[in-house]
Amino acid sequence: MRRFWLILLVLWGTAVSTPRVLAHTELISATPAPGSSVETLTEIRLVFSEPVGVASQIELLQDFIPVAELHPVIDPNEATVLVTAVPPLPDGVYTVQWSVTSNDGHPISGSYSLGINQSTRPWYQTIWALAAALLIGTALAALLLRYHWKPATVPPRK
Amino acid sequence: MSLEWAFATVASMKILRLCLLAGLLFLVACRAANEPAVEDAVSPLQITRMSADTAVGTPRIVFGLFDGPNPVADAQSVSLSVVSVGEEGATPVWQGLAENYSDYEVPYWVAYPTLPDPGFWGVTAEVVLVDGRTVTSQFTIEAKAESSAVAVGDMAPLSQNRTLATEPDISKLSSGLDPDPAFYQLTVAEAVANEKPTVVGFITPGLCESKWCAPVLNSVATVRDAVGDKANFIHIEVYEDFQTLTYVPEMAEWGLETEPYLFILDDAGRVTASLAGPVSPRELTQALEPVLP
Repeated sequence: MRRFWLILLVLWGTAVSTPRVLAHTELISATPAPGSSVETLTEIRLVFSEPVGVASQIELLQDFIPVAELHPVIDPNEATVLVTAVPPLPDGVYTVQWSVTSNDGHPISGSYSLGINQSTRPWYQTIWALAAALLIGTALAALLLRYHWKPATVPPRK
Repeated sequence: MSLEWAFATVASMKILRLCLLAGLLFLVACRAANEPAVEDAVSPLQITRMSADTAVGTPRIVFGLFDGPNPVADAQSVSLSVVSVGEEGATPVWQGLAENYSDYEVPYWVAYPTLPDPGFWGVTAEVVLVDGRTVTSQFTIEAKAESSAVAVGDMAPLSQNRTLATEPDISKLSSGLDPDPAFYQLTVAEAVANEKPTVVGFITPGLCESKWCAPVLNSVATVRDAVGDKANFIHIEVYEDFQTLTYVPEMAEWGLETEPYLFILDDAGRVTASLAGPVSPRELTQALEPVLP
């Protein structure tokens, strides 16, 4: 029994004397994901590595100008999650810019782009893929014709 | 012209060879025409910025590039273009390359753009990836009229920071696990008096363990080992009390609201560089070299 109390005392002492570890918070994930394109954007949800402060912000920019008034809040069930509703917006490419202050006062900010009804693949990559498919298809057809198709004798001209 | 005749012609492979040649030429032309072009599509590239205390002038802008949670370590170059936000058709007030520092736990980039006035500035970063593609990313920065921290050109406060002479218990002078006594020998006042350049680092090595700030004291130690006694190296722990997390008085004396922060002083005690956030050994060496004897 004495040993039990001794262990408990040591554990309590360790818990009390160990300093809190602080850190610059980091963006763990985002919904919609950076670089993605959605049909409609109704909400932005950012998950950080540690609880964020109340002064944290999310802005949605186009050519550096905010395109909507956002009111981000910390998820009441998850102190590491910053979430904001987004009003209806026209199709286009937008910059999501966030700035958070962790509970110990460390400021950090970041940005990424996302699209509303935008191609996430450059147009030339699409053409490249189509052209490559066409080329390979033609080559295969040529091989098939050469080795498996025996043409009928061409009738002589009258 | 019968169908059989047409098939026979195709089978003779002449047209097919022509098709293949044309297709190849098309692909080559397509590739060549678009390789240098900036990718218009939405990019997964993220820019993370240590947003500490940006003021007008030529502030140090430090940022990292990420693809998801992973740092983009192999970007070939990053060029920045800065415009005034809200000005229709604004021409850039500054354009230039950011410098990459990969000798750090997380690779980061630094630029010193010219921001002539307080307010918001729009930054477009063109990032050339390792495969030659270029992606763009944008962000804004707010320039204050002046930094709250001691600025480059100011005389450093002659702080009477705690040293081993005034606090023999080294565990109170640093939150680090294994503090190096050499960092706690001099006050800033004593360092300025000995007429050597000085590096003053406000860092909390044991309490901020993120990849952005934790390795800064290691960078200072690396440079100190290379420079020897040609300069003074002082670590000022950010927190006076590790339980209540109250700042040491020197934080207010130097106008600091966050950490890590490195200051480089010349032999007269004038601040020649102010580096907030991550600092690699190479960047610290570059900043210190001009004031070394």
